[in-house]
Amino acid sequence: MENSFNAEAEKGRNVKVQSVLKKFINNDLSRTLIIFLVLCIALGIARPATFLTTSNLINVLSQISVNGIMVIGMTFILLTGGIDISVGSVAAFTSMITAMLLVSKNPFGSNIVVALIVGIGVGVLIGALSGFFVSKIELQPFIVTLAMMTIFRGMTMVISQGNPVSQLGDAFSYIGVKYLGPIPINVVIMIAFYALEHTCFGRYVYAIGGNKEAARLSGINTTKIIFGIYMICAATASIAGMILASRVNSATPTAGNGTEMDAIAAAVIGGVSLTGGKGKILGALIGAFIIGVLNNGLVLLGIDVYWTQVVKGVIILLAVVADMLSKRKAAK
Amino acid sequence: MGEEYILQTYDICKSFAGNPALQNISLNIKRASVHALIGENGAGKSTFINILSGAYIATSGYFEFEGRHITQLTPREAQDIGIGVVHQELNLIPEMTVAENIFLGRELTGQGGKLDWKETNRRARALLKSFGVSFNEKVRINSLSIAEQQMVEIIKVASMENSKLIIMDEPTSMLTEKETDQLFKLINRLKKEGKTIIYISHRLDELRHICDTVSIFRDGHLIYTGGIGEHTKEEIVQMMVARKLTEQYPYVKGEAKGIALKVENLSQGNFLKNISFHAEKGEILGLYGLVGAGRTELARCIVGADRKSSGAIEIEGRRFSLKNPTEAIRSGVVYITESRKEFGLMLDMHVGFNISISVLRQFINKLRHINRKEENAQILRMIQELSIKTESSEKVVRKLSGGNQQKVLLARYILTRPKVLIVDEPTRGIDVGAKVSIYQILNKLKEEGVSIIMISSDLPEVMGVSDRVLVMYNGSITGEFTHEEFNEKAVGLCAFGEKKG
Repeated sequence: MENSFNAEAEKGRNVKVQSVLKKFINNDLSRTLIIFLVLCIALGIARPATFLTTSNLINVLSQISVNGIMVIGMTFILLTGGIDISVGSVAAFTSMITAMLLVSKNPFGSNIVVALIVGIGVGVLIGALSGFFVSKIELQPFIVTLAMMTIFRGMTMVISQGNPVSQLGDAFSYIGVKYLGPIPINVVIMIAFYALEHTCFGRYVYAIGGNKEAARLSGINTTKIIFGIYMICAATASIAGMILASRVNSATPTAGNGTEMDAIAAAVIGGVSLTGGKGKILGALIGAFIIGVLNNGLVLLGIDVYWTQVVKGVIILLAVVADMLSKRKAAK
Repeated sequence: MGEEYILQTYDICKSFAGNPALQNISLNIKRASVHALIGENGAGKSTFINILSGAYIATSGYFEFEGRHITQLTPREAQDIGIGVVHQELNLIPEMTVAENIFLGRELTGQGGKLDWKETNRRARALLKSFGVSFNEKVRINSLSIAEQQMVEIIKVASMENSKLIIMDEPTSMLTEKETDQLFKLINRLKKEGKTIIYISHRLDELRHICDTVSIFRDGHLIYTGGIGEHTKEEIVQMMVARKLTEQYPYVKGEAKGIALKVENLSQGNFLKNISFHAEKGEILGLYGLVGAGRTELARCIVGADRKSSGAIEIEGRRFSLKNPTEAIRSGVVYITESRKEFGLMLDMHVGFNISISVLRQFINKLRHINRKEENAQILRMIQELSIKTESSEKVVRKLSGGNQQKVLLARYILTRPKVLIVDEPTRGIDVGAKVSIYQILNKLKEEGVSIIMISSDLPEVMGVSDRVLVMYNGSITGEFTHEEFNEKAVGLCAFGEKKG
């Protein structure tokens, strides 16, 4: 009697554990986390002497910071069902402006604070321009930001005449490596978390991604919100540009080339849906970490650096397939 | 057998999620005749032709086509055995030429699979000539008028080598009188060629010119089949709408408490023409009409979801120019869409998310932080008050039943404390029990003094629930009835364009 009772309780507990486990596995966020941890453990086992060293981990972290910031702004846009492929160009253009101000003879402009503010401000204006075309004129985000990408890559070339601008001063390179890198990523992450999880704005972003017309009929000013997120995305792109420039103490016209795809890839790997309404900032960040650790790991394993791209592509595909499978399962 | 009739159906039934849409339809269609199907929206005509054309599979029953016994088929098979459909929405590719469209999917090829444009154009030209249309085969579809496009669609279906039965779903809904005449000539020609036509229309007058037989659908039943000349228009309308009030309509007489909304001379392009009316506090104003009469357009104009060309809107005596739904909601006028899945709900979001989205501002503190506790309290209150059946407020809305989804939508807008609540087909596609509870919710709001405008295509519902009814036809208001004046026939005739006498 007692035995059977115990067995029953045991069974009940098992079922409970199973259901919690199932929930955990079916959760996009935890799935991404598991992939990340497996990756780290595998590398830790394969290359214990090199991967798990403080200097290597700091190295990985600083490499992630650029993508880590960009992916936050990108996630806002992807959540509304849009896309911004101009972030690489915006990063290059704004960091070039800041760099040129820093080396200029103008005592006011060469002030590091002024130079940073002007650079990021220009980025926000570019975002406003994209936002205007997407929300007011209702053009396709892909096309609008493709145009912006081309225009501002070109403008970077025009203002720099194709030459890198170096010797940006110790202050810029120092705060770049020591402070700007880790600090803005923390600050931006916190603001983004707060905005998305706790404010009306964040809810509206998800609502627009869930069903834009429904959001409009619910009284949400969809035009204004969409306008805003393109500005946010351009701002994060500009900050990423500054970090990129400060790390090498030089702004180059080709800086940030292809970073837009890294940001989109990180978001997708992190469970953000390109059709909008689904995904978390944390997921996107873990996505950025996965890409960062992967890059690092392939180097440590001595695999030809050219393979990185191939592996990244395969992982994106796997992430999307896993997402699709979980959706199908949920639909049943 | 099989000679006189091209198609015979036997006890065809169709249910959607347990709700019967068609019940025991047994219908014979004579060879080389034009057979009209008429009935209110939702009477089952479209479901019926969708079964014949393979878009739906019948729940039970079967049909015989040319002596062939059929219980289910795919759209492709329907086409292969000779059943063609001219859909209400045109299925043409705008950037392609007439000839390309006519032969789409059965392209003429020469040697090596190369497309034979010469032959395609030659055959298309011959077809157009034989149908006596004025445009040539090389023009692009997007440069043709809607009527001409309709012609192309019909020619495309009629020219399928073996098409024997052609189904036309409201082919004249977008045509002018002259174009309609042209279409009728074409139909007569097809008939002479021995083709059979099933013709769906809302325009009763035109049926006399073109049809031999008429079948009337009502509530998923086949009510009547007979010669078109045997009944007057009034008698046919009576058969379409008359029915016993078997469903429960919990009507409570409303107490008008002053004007809530006044609309003056509202127009929008060709859709709405000089519409003026008012809605009282504490009443349910029914807005009846057939699909396409302009009811949804009117509602969307009022709340600023679409732009109006002219007209004025007053809310409780104050004039407002509502430019978008945000302003409308702030001014106390809300519109609940008829397409709750396309335009109403964020289907993949939670119940709670969907309920509170319009009133989030109520819950924010100085830091613009949403107070989850207060928010959840309101969400739970609405779930309880409207008795929404869901395990938790965190359930994804997509997984709720239609009736509960509708309640979620209602909850969202009730929370905004509207003065005027416009609900568009609030009970479409939900079961009888849920319908009654929606009526009860509306009645309760009415008692609280909210002005409710209920758009519906379901006449018994409109008459069963409303205190007053406006009827629309073709962008104008054709009649107004007080509760005492309600009469199915009179309201029905207004919906077909007769002015209230």
